[in-house]
Amino acid sequence: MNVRLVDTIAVSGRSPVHAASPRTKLAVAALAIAAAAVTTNVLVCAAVALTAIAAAVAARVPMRPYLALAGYPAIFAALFAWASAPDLLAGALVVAKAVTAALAVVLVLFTTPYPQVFATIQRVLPGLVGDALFMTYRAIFILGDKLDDLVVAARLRSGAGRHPLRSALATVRALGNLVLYAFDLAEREYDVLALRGYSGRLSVPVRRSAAPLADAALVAGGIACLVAAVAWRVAWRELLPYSWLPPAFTLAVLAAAIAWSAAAKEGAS
Amino acid sequence: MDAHAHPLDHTHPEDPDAEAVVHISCARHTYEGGASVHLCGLDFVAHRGRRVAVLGPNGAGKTTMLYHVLGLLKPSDGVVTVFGVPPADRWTEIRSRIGVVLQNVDEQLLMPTVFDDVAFAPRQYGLAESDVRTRVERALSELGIAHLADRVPHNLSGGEKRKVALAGAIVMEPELLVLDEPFEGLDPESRAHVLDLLEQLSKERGMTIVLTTHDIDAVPEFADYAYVLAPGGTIAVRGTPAEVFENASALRASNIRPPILAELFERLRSEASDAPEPVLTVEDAAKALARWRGGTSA
Repeated sequence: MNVRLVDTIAVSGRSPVHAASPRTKLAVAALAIAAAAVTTNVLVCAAVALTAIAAAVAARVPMRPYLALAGYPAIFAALFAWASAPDLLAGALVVAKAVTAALAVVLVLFTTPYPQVFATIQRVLPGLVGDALFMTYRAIFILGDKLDDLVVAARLRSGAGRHPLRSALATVRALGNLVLYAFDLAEREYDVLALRGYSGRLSVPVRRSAAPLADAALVAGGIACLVAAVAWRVAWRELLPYSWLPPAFTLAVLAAAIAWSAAAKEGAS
Repeated sequence: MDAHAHPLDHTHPEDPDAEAVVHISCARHTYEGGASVHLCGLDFVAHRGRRVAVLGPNGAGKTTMLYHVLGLLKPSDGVVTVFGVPPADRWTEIRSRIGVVLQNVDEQLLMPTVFDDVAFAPRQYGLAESDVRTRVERALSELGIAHLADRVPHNLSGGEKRKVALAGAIVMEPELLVLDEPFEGLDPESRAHVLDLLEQLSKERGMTIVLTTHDIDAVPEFADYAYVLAPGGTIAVRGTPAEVFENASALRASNIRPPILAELFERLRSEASDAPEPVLTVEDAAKALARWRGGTSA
């Protein structure tokens, strides 16, 4: 997973979805996950997934990394479905639920800087846990760079390719060094926090929405997803013939999002 | 200049009443591996509003000295005081008065954008968001990096990261600025800009600045006075840059090569007895050489 790419898109994105309040985005992601959990109709689940994709298109999130990242859970869900689902439709539903939830969460990560995600949930977490989650932010990048350097050095110094076993051993030792470095880094990061004013509770202001209309649209979309999921769950006998309606509607929304995004891109250039 | 040129080295040579913001006297720290740094010999004193450079070879204890000043290390022996209190014990009382840039700036940048990173300390101290914005914008423009405000720190160059860290250090307008190798990774133009800024902070706002550096040529331009550490932490020399760089034997003992201008003038004097006295800045050198040329051609 390219953390740096996700972070750059989250921080430097200029779409209305990026400008929406982090709280709203987290709440809407929770609504989408709830909808995916509640639904027993694979078409409704697909509609929720398409809604998330439409929001990603509107946010001008690059589709390839977005879908690749959200697709990871499909592998594990497929294994689970293969082992336990009674028929193909039930298996498809298991996979669709996992992917839909991932699409919602990954959209939040692509449109909200990591510290803002944790600033939002920090209030409901114990102080130490919230601060620790926050502190992983820079550590991820520093350790990622360090790992790249160590792997390159290990390859160069152990004769890359000539002795695969020796290369592998050198890489493992480099990883051991990385673990030690991580402990050292944790201490230094704590020192830096203390030097820069940290006194037991990180103060990260939650960003307010800079696009209230985007907040409203996201909330409307999230509520619509949950309402549809509940409706098709409760009144499934009556609504089953109309199961094509939610995906058809969200396909129209997706088409509109694509057109809007293309127009915005053209306007920007 | 010998080690006792300033016998009362806890007072300022020009202003005996100047307040000692930082005072280190025979502080000792022993690392877990057994290596010991004993900051003894002369007392280290940084007076209010002065710019103090700390020079020394690798491993002499420059960073250890700064860590004592920042309260990150507690001396097992000796005295370290900052604003009159031991920093290791009473750091929370004095920390808002101190700005810091550590050697590895990568580990000092914590937030997702440059603006948020510079705003980190003011927000931790609970300042109003409007005040935070004013301070951050001023710090960024002082460093000439206002255009980086929305950039992601990990994508910046080394020099840009150092400037962001420096903006984060001055944003609270500290009384004491502690800088570990601040010129590392800066291009000549940025280095000159940072030198000008440090001079301005010191002269206009009375900021006390303590920095370590291997950039010997920056010392005459920057420092009011300098200390030289010998291996093991011994504080061997104290004086103005001119006094320090005249002390060739002490510099050699500390593996420090004098500034290139000092070497040039030494060479000239060895070849021509009427060559000018060594000077340490380009401006002074140009004047001295022009005078000498006028004298020799006449």
